Amino acid sequence: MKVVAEAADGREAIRKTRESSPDVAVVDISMPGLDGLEVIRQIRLENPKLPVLVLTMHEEEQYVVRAIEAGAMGYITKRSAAEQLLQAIRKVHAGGRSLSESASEALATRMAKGAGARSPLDNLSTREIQVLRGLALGKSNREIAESYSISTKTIDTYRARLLRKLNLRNNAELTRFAIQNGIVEL
Amino acid sequence: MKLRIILIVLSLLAFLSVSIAGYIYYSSLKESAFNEAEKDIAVQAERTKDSLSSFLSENRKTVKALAGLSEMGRSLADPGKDFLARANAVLDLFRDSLNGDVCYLMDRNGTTVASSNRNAADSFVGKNFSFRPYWRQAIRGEPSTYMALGVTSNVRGVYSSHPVYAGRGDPPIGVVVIKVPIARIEEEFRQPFKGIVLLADPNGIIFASNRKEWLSRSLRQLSREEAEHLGRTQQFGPGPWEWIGLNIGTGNIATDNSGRGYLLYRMNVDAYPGWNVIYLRDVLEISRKISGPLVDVTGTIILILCFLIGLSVFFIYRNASGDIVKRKEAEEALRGAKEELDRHSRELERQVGERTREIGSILRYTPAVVYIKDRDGRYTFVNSRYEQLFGVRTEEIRGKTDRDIFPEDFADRFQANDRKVLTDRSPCQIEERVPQEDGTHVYLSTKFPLYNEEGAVAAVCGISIDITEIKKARDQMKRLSDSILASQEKERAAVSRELHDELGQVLTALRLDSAWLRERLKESDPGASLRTEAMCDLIDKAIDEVRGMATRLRPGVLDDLGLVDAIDWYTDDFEKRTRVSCVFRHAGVPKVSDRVATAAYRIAQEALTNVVRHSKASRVDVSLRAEAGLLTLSVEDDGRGFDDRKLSESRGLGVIGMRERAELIGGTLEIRSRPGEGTRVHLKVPVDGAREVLH
Repeated sequence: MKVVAEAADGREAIRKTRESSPDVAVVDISMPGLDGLEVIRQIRLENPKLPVLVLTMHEEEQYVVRAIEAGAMGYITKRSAAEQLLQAIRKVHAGGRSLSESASEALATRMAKGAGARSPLDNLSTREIQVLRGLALGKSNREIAESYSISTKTIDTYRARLLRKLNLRNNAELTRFAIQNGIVEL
Repeated sequence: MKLRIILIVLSLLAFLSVSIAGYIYYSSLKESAFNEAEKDIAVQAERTKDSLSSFLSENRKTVKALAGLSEMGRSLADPGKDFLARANAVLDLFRDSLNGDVCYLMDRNGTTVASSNRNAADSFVGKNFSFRPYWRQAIRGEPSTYMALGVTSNVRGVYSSHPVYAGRGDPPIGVVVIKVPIARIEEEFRQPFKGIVLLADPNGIIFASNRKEWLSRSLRQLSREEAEHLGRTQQFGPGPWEWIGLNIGTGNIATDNSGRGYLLYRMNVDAYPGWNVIYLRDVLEISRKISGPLVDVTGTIILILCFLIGLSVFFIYRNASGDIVKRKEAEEALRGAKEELDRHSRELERQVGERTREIGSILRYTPAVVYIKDRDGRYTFVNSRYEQLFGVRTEEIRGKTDRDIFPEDFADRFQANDRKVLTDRSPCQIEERVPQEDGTHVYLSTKFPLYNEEGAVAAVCGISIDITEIKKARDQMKRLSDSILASQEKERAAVSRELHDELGQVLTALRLDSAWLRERLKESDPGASLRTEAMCDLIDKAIDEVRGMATRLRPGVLDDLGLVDAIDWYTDDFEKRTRVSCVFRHAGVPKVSDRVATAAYRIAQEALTNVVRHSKASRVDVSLRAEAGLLTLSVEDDGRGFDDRKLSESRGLGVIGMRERAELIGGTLEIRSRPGEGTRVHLKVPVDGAREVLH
């Protein structure tokens, strides 16, 4: 693995990409000059085959979603770069996606909520969707609680809310709902 | 008062007239009674007269017959015992048949030779009565009748004498006399007659009467000569004949010496000149005759009538009095009411005057501009301030319209506002721009309709306050506030960026290196590797802290990805932190300017902070929508709410902050809440964040 080019700002990044034809582009979102997401879009436009990996300080899910929407194939936070960068580069080069667990989840939720269409998910909060996914995937309350750093009692509360909001009776129905609305994929 | 007097007078008059009438009636009754009595007497008298006449003359024929009897003549001619006895027998017979007192025969000397009472104690046989007029006349050949008192018998009677002849043509040889007591006629007198009847001789000696005590008394005072003369005649005894004390005046009233009056009726006796039959009727008695029954019958009636009349007069009087009193009271009350009214009216006048003065002063000294225009927009009044500002006087301006004072477009605006008040019939408060010498001023005008008595709108009154300075100040404040907030945001953004990008980056780099070191030392120096691991953790913590600080100051998402993603992130984070279920919905939201996005984000932030701080909600719904150029942000919770009319101090400032931010971007903030019914914070702002506020 060799670094063939470096850029300090967005425009330079696009230019250098054109010039150096790398196999993988690792781009930061916060760059001076052109907005990072715009850079990703441009690169993807010019070179659809080139996988773009986002390496950024921003850890918020919203960034992930936007990045993926813009065309990135992977999203690594700088904090976890040490552990995950190389692996991620290899993965995206292989054609896959490299996202953290929560990033994938966020993305899935975003997809499920759809583009503008009114879905029953509109009435659910992010947390509630997360718990729903967890339950639909068959995870135990403890597992779900751990992954979101909340207590099992809270999970129970969320579950109760879910059942009430969606007018469902048990976990099986929750699972069916989750599948029907694309929160989990078979 | 008058009524009472009238009533009394009338009553008296009535009484008087009744009394007079009564008296007249009584008088006429008395008169008629008198007349009646007189007539009565007259009738009575006539009857008596007839009786008396017949009585006096009844024996004339009888005595003639007696005188014609042969026994009479013979006894006189031959006074032998036989003839005398026969004469006596005849005399007895006659006396018995006639029921007379005595019958006797007298010779030519006047001596009684035969008598029917020859055997009685008072016999006067042998006595000489030649002094008797009846003998004197008879002996001359004239029969006569003579009334006198018997000398011997002391019985009053009527003597009827007749001459006795020896033969035809011869002079009388004797006289025969029949004496009939007067008592018989006195019987007659006693006929139902209530007065005194007397038979009096020409001298006035009472010969017969129905009053025993009046007998042998005199009607008038007799002089001594008369009395002596009368005594000598022996007609009525020796005397004296006391005067009965009656004064016979002219007319037909006689009075006795006790003053009593008598109705007198005098009648001549036929064939006895000078003899009178006198009827006396006590006047009082006559009066009593009528007054008695009158009093008895009518007296009671009159008394009752008087009583009744008195009673009715009394009641009428009382009624009248009552009426008078009532009327007086009514008058009193009326007067009192009138006084009250006057007083009240004066008081009102005073109050009106006072109020007018007060209002006048207020209008004169208020810094506000006060004016009144009629329905056609013509001024009817302006106050002193108006006069000062626009250089017109209230007398001059009357009748003029705004167009006469201000430029057209301003005037039209004023008039439009006035018209609105007139049609809406309700007050309104609007800002009006008014050109003045030193430029255009802004006034806050309160305009309201004035009503007339019928309740129709008659005029528009306006009170305008110059708020130019205030507005300027407010605008300045707003600008200041805006700039403060803006610079605050800028600073935060700068610090956030620096923390995140600079410090964050450094820390991230540090971490990379320490991770690399950790890997490196894993085999060579596990201890050092562990230490390095600890370093990594520490650096992680630091990174988290820095990130947290940065995002709290200003989230990168807001600047990099926009308002929608920022709120999306904040609500997720909110849910993670607070366990309050937070649902975020958004629709049609375009990219908005930095100012708008910041304001909206900060408002959402504040609202959600309040939710977790105060409401104890379990769920919050955040919605961000854009429609027709209007962006709406709504934060609604199901918490315990509060009374939005009473914003407590603790909430107050946060709310003020939100409102301020909203206004600065030309939007409005609305907070609705009721206890137990949750809270709703609603922001409405034009998508382009117009700066309307700062006119």
